[in-house]
Amino acid sequence: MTSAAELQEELAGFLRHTRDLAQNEAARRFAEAHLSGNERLSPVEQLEIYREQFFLRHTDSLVEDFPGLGGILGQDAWNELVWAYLATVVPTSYDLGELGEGLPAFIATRAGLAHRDLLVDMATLEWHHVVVFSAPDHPRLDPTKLSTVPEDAWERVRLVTDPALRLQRLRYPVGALRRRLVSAQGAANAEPVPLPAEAPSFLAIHRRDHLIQHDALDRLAFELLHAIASGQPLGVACETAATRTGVTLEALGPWLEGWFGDWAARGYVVDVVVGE
Amino acid sequence: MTSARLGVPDLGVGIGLRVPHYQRLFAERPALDFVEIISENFMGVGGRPRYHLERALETYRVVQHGVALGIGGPEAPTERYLGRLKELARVTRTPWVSDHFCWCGAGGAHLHDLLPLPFTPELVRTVADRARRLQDELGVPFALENTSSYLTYKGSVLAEWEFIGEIAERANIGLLFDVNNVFVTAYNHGLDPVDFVRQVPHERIVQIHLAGHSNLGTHIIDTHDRHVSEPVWDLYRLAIELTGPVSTLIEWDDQIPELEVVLAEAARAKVERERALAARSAGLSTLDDECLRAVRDAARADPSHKDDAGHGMRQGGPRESAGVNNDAPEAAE
Repeated sequence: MTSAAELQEELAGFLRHTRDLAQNEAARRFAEAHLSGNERLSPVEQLEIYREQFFLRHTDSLVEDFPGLGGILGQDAWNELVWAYLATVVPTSYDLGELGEGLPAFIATRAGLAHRDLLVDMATLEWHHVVVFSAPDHPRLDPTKLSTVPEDAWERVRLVTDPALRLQRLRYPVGALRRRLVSAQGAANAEPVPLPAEAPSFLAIHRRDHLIQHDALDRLAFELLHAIASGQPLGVACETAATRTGVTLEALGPWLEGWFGDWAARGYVVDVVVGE
Repeated sequence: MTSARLGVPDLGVGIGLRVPHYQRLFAERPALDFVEIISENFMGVGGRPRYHLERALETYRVVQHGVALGIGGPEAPTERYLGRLKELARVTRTPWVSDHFCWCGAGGAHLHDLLPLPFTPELVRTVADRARRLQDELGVPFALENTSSYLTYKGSVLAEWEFIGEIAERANIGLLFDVNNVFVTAYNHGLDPVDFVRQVPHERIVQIHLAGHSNLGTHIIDTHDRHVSEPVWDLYRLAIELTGPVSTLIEWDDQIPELEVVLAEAARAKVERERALAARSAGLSTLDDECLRAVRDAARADPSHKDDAGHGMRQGGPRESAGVNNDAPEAAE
């Protein structure tokens, strides 16, 4: 006899099929064995109601969260990509908002996509938007904490960044592109939005006053902030940033005070922890 | 507010807290007995969702209702989920927490649906055990809701009202009785909705849900995208007559109309509730034989019937991020 768990696992597998289950012999056999059906709907047609709803619900969620991707791809290619993603990536979180986490990596390895790098940039940016939108709130940095850091301890200090901050190296200016695409989607008879040429840049995506800001950073500031956000102590983070950009630590020094002041004012840095 | 049953107070009539109404709700603050939130939309989050929750808590009694617990699934709910649910209950000071008699996924997959359970003694034990422990852990009364369903299992050996009643009794939890779901399920599976309402253990009912549905002829989908249907209002009065005063909620989760339309639906619920309570006090009923026959007839499948299909089952309404432009206007790059 099939246990409830076995029945549920098998049924769950069928609900993630991309095509009508009435055409699926295994689904028909499963449904005939376990579901009652009625005079209006066969067992497999009852199962199909749930499969269809699975795709409607999850497709809706991705369409809402990735409007820029949809704008680049156009309706047909976007639908195809979403269905391929849903057929491949198993949603595991109770939170439907986490559904798109794997989309950038999925696009990066999907065959036959035009403008792949642009799409990966856009998918990554839009995933950052999802995360930043509802990331936990954190109080601003208490300035008096800075004055308690001993002079000789700064190298060991870890700066804690805001949970609502994400950093992204861009190959294409997808932030501006996204704004144009979203606005075109809401407009009647909008002109097609041209795709931009490659133009590397560095971006902080940050929520302030409930709005998601895109702040351009220069490369050195980006590398330092990136190293800090990854948890490196300040001294190590400075070395990492200098190595990655080819500047000396001495050249980095004069910039630090201004950046820290700016990052604290913007709310990128929310705490200071003096390490051992 | 009348006396509590199973520790759950009767709050009157409320509406679901939904994104399209935030602006007017928080500006105008219309009188409402309570609002119900979808727990998962506010678990572990900050930013705009948290801000809106705090605005709601300033003005209204907030009750938590979940759509992703999946209490009857092969795997027990995760510690991450339960921890966040408990933390949210602490923040909202919800007088009770509810979710559904359902499963949501298997083999590590979460399908974000309220999948029907086989009505078996095995699952009575599993769900009752989990529900009892969850209620203890939460420290507030817990209730489970009967779902709409579109399939039935050959392995079911209990009637749905026996299944949910037995679990509620064993776990000592409440029932969130969705009268629209009774009608949908009755239509889809050839049951008598009047019998369903009469058989369920009324002493366990701590809240009632009302919503609209889409009749596709062959089956009804629980779309929550329109007015409550007349036969469901009739069933609601029957449920109140048999149960007494319990909190009642209007759910409107798709094709969400202007706030006053939902408020008008809540006002009608108050009227229907008062009619039923007055009849109950007098030892009478608002439903005569003809009315009951009409409800049963309406729940008899009619494949020639076809409502506008609606979009589908959007349990809990739009997500907090849906339709909201959070981008700063002058973003630099």
